[in-house]
Amino acid sequence: MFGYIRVSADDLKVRDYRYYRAVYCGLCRSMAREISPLFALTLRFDFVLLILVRMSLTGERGAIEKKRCIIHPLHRHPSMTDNEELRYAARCAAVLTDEVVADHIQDEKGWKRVGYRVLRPLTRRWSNKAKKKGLPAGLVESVSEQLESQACLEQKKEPVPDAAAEPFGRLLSLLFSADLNGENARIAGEIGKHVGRFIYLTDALDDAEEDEKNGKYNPFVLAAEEEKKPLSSWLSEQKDSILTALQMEGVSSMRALELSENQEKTPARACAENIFVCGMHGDSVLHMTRKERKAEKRTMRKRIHDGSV
Amino acid sequence: MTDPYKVLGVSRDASDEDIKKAYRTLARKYHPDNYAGSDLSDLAEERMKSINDAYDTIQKERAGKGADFNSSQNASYNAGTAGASAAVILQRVRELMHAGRFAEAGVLLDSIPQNERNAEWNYLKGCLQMQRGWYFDAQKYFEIACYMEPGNAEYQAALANIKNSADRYGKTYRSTEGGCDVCDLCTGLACMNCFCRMCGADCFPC
Repeated sequence: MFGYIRVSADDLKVRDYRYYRAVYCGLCRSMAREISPLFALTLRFDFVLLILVRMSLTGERGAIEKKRCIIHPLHRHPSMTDNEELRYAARCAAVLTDEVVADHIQDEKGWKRVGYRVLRPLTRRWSNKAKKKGLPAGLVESVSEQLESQACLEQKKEPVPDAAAEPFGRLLSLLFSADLNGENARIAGEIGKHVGRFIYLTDALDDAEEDEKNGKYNPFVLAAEEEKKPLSSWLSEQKDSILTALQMEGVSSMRALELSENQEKTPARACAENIFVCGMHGDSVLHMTRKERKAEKRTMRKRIHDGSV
Repeated sequence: MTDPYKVLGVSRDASDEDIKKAYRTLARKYHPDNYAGSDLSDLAEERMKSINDAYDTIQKERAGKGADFNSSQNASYNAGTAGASAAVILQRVRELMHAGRFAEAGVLLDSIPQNERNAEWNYLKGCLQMQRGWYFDAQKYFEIACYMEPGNAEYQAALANIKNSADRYGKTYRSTEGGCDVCDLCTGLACMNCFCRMCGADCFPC
């Protein structure tokens, strides 16, 4: 479900890009230290955004130092020193990863399902460890509540994509706003809602054709069915609307961030804005095949690791 | 629940016209504008709500009963008197939205039966979906509204607005592109020189 949110290095200042890499690296380290070194392999860009948004709202910058790591032993990389936000993101990632694997066990069939079953004890251990290390009170309960209502919608075969995206939007809204206070919590919640909806809709769009083949739930497939059109022609007909809608999620996040009392242009804020404007649109899903996208993601990861542009 | 006919002050066998008239008189009386800033505004709202509910109930009841009623409801918003009731509700929806009471507006809007949903209904529904952040759905309703009433500037503006605001941020973010740099200056000078030669005045003789 994750991995659709990306930073556009071409549109960032070099120092802001260095900051982004430092957060990415810091999160990886935090995941390894907090949960398990193996868990660090599941590192995703989405949780970097969680950190960036929260830090740009609080105005906290975090310290950056140069460090070596196992994957790149020869060069020293900028890395954010461990702090509360990094630890929080790592724990959230552990809980969500477990939920996603549990979800896959329900949905998938055949060998894939067996694979996820084998994986589940491991992810459950990570999740439990994260819960033991401490998450804001009530967060885990409300997260599973939202996941339940999502399962409910899926069972009901909700045909409106926007309605189907609601629970996941609320879920991320909870994660983004947890432990912040007053206005910041509201702004972070609004951003989380739009980011969550973006992720859900992009994921659904991405899986639409496959889900149609396998007869799995997908709001876009149902929406096309409702208008009695084959999926591919419906999608190409609705392409513009879908792209605009996805882009609007980024625009709304940006607008919410602009309401923040703290208007200082910190590197975290520059990165968050870059993601909202350049990194949250459906182009990559609609115009590229899965294989191309995987290759792109690989190059991006490599770029972030090596610092090359 | 109280008798909806009693709330509107009409008898059970009153005609649709009479009910509409009664509803409109009462709605005008309890209109929120009349109570703006007053301590009683919440009370007025309550009244208004009960009138709306009563009116909706009667509408639904009658819509279920007679075929002749249904057929008259099919008439379009501009053409028939039947559409006028929907127009009153839509007006009310606009007021609620203006006051920021979106949930109530949504309920009221959805209470309008399928066959009475005109261009304005679709437009208002689109506005509500916009407010919730349901952008894909919002565009769908705006498009239907534009399709049903092609000349309406309000509906077209709404549709254009959502598309524009999606584009605008990307453009301002990348606004450093464009403008004039040294290369542009040189090219400009070279071009100017070419044109000047045509008239015999050479800036840079060569």
